[in-house]
Amino acid sequence: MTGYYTTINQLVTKIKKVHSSLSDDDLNNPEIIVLQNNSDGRGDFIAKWKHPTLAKPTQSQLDAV
Amino acid sequence: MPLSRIKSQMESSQLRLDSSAASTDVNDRVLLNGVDSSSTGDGYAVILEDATANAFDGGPFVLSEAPISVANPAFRVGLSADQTMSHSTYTKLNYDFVQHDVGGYYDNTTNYRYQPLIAGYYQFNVGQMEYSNLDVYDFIIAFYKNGASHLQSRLRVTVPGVDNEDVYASILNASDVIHMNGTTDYLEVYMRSTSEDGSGTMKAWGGTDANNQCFSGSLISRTS
Repeated sequence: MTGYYTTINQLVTKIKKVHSSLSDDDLNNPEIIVLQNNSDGRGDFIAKWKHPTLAKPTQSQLDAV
Repeated sequence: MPLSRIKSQMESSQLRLDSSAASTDVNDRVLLNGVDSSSTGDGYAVILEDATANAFDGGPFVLSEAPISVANPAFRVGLSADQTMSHSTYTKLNYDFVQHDVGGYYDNTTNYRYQPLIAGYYQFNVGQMEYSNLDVYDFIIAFYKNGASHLQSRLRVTVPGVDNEDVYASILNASDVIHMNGTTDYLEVYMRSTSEDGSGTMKAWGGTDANNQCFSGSLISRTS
């Protein structure tokens, strides 16, 4: 399913590869980025992305890494 | 009114708040043991009416009908086993082990949420142990109402110059009073663990003894 990743840490690993400059402080700040899993079998997804300089990764960027 | 007159009326088991008025008028009466010819008969009656002689119904009480007894909703659930999740990812905790659920409003098989069918203000509590043992330095427990974060409790440990901070086996608690509309509103619990390692399988503690984690709540004030 587009935008969802069912393997543990697959999404967060891809995000770090797309944005290698993304700091842990920004990644772990729920006011900036929220990764979420509703435990409904669909997997992890980006629920919020409000980084001031880095754009939300596109599906093609996530697919490419 | 002189005390002697009140006393005599009390002895006849009747206290009239407006004895000159008919039983259906404003300022009605309280009959503790009706012996008059009205329909109250033996027993007691409390009749309240507004200025238009309509029965004073509304809110949580219906005084024009025989009272009904509804059990006050209350529940306590837990994780029957550890639940895993991704690093730094808000993950719904599927509390599946029901210890009690008065009213039966907790869904422990499909959506793992509390959706009461009585509107009112509810006291909710959660306590959850972090069980990753992976240099976790940031631990969050959150109430999600209708799919959106409502209240978060956070434990974050960062010590300058020190590596491998770890809140492993710490228990984080959160509580709040939240209005539920009695139809569509539901409440869930989410958890997020962040490892200094930036990877690894994170874990919430679970077990049927329910000593290190629980999600509980009860109705404290009805609104309908």
